[in-house]
Amino acid sequence: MHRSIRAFFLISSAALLVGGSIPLPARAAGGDATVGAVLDTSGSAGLYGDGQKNGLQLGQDYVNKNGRVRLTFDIQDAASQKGQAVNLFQTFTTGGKVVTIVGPTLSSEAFATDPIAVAAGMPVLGISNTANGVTAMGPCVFRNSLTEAAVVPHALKAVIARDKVKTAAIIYGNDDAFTKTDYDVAKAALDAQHIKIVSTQTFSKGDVDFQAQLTNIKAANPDLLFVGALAVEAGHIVADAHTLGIKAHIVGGNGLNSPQVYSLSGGAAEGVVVGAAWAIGAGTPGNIDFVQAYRVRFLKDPDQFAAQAFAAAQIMENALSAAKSFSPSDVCTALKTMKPVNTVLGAFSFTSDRDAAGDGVVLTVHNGKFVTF
Amino acid sequence: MLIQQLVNGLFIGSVYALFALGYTLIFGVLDILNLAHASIFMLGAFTALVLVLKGAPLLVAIAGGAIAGGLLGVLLDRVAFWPLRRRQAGPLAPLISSIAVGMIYVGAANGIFGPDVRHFPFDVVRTPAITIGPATFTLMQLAIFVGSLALMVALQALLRYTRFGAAVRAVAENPRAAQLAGINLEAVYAQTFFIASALGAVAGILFALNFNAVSSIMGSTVELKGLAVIILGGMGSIPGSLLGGLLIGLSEDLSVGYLSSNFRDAIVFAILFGVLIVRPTGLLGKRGLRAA
Amino acid sequence: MTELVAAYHAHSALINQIGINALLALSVWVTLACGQLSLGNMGFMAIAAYASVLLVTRGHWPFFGAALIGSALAAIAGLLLGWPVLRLRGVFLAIATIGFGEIVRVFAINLPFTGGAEGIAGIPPLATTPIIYSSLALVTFLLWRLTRSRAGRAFAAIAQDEVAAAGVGVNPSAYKLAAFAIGALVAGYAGALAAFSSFFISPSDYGFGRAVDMLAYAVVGGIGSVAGPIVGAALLTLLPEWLRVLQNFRDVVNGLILLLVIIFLPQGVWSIVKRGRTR
Repeated sequence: MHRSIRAFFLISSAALLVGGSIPLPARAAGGDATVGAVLDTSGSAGLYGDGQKNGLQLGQDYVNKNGRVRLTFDIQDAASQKGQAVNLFQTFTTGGKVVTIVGPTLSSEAFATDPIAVAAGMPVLGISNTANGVTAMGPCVFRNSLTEAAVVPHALKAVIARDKVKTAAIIYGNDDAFTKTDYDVAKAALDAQHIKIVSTQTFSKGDVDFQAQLTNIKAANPDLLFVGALAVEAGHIVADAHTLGIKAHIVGGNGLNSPQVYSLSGGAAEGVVVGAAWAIGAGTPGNIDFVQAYRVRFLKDPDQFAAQAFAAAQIMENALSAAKSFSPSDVCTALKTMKPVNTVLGAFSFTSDRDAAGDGVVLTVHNGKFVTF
Repeated sequence: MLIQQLVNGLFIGSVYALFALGYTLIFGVLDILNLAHASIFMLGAFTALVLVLKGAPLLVAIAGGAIAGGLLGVLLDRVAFWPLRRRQAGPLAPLISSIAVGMIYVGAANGIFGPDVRHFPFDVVRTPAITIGPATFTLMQLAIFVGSLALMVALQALLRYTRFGAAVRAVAENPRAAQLAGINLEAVYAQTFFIASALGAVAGILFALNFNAVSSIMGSTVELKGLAVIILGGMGSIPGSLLGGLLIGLSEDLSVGYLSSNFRDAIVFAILFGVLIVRPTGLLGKRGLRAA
Repeated sequence: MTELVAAYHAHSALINQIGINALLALSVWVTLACGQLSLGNMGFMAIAAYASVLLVTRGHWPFFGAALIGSALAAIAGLLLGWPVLRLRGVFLAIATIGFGEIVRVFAINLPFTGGAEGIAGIPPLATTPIIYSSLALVTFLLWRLTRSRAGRAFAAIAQDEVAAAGVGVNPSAYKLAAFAIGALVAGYAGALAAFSSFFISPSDYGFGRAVDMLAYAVVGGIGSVAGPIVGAALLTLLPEWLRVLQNFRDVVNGLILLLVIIFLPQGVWSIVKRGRTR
């Protein structure tokens, strides 16, 4: 009995290690492509990865219906753990089956995983990485997620102009690279517009109690409050600010572009302005169909994570159709030289640095829904 | 602003105190630090949410959540601690097995409900804001503050004035002697776990109602703060839990108000650390340095 | 042979992780062997990791020198932490170490030179598999010698009954402090290795969850000998890879394993293996 337990451990460990060396059937040439996806569909980033998975699945069906390319996403869960994301990337880059990797969900994972893809010459398409320096990691690292630096200044400028703003306060999460970037970008934009920053407050990921910070902000009486947060914390901050009687105009970045902001705060979210990469209400036919299909299949509104994932499918369809072959280097070239493609994000193209091009949109919450500012 | 921060601190402190009650009760009676308490806090909130979404009135949902929490606590004891009592394992084993059950409970919540943050329907949680002078708070917050205090007073009364309470105190003081006096140890343990966990579940529900957020990870920050509360207040002391809770809540909010929000958590842990070094029994604790 | 090489290349990150986790498990084991539960070892990891990364990326130090300095700093922190908590027992000690770990993490988020929440990226992969595993072999050997020495027996005596040990002339404080420092040194070194094999570090790598993981490696493997923690680390690092299909329910299995071991197999998994061998 004991010996067989030991045997079990040894054999399974060996099997796992050797498994990577079993030769796999050759990839079908022509129209079939498998794209790996490393997403956090469980764990602390699970709420965001979930929408991404949904978006990719919907995108896969959409592309396959179009018939230009047969696309399969091999979606694996990294459980919000850097180590697991790294292992998945390694499996994908050595497995010989995928032509590109989509993801990972968090920028902090990307800094650990992308070097592996770069070393293997495998293209990576980030769909939610917004930290500085991600695409700089290698010549085949792309992302379709408009960074905070691209969208936040426009939202701020719009509100400053409309409301003759003189003073501002910032509240942001200082333990997360995304929200910290929000702070850096907002501060720079406010300074550039000569707006006086009267209070800066921080919180941690997962916090639900913002009373103390908001009390400070209320005392400083700013005209504008910039919220550097992801959807859930943002929803609470907006609700609490309203309860405390803060009159400042609330502005946020990509993180606030989520239905959770108004569903968690009820009417308090009215008038919140968001600089983002995607508008749920955008009238392009592709977008309307996407939102409708998402609602039907997943029984809730898509958020920006889902939209960017769906757009990745559209981008891959475009690149794969134009690629000379499905070898990673040819796909990389195809992505680099890609013509603009219509996606749910609008007309999409990469910059010369392989970032998403564009200024994004400025949205505001009106009657419980996001509309254009 | 000071008044508002004090009000904020008192409020969140009362929730921490209610949560810590369960911790401290179990420690006082069984000498175990139950690190699965936070997962019951969370599951109590989910139970109440499910009941509300099925149409139950709020008070029924709270009662339901409390009972569910109590039962989960009894299950926890049976599965994780009772076998260790039987073989008289050392003091670290129960700590580790409580961590294990905590993982199971949180994992189950994750599996069933997913990682999404859920919320109560608005008409249940939206209450009017009241402004008295420089301080603003909601009716819900006031109700929670009063409710927490009431529960703590009720618990203290239970322990002091009932026969059950006398049995619990006897077991806490000296289990062998209590047993020899005819007290059924296992029954007392089960009842203690029930009450402590029910309180923890109620704390979770009140927390969830006020911040309108229920998620599988909602216990994690409160768990660590809860440790600071019981250390500060004194392990095994009910009034200590209240005092510790209020003080931690106040120090959190005042440090955000007057120092910097960056270091809020560090200050709480620094207090924890400082108390352990200087006075491990805490402010009101009786049995801090028991050779473990 | 080429198949093995290919298999290695497909899983080198996982193989490295196992080696590092084994070292972390040993760092928890050292203090457990002396009767103390330290749940703050990720704080030591962080100190050594940041120090060595900064020395290499900004100061252009070689890897070993930087790792040594980082580990030494971690050991000093271990002494500084260990000394005031010496007289705390059991759960109180554990809580104090948790507090320590959290304080280090908050500092990592807020100090200017750590890069804050954005962390430090682009770390050269200088900790290769041979380095990790030869380090593990060396540390394992040294710790094994420790268990066989007088110090090791003193540890065991203190873990059993501190008062009795003091009664026979063992100085518990000195040994407990030494255990703390050694544990911190090993954890710190593991932290440096982890930093130089994953390209990127940030404060979220050093949260409380990591401390629980390390404890699980040691306990599940078995704390009776040096081999136990290593076996536990290997098993529990591979487990998520096997359990990926369970998605969100994964933690249920992790918790269940830990629970079953602590209740039914208090000597850990290694004890079954050992028993099997002597048959």
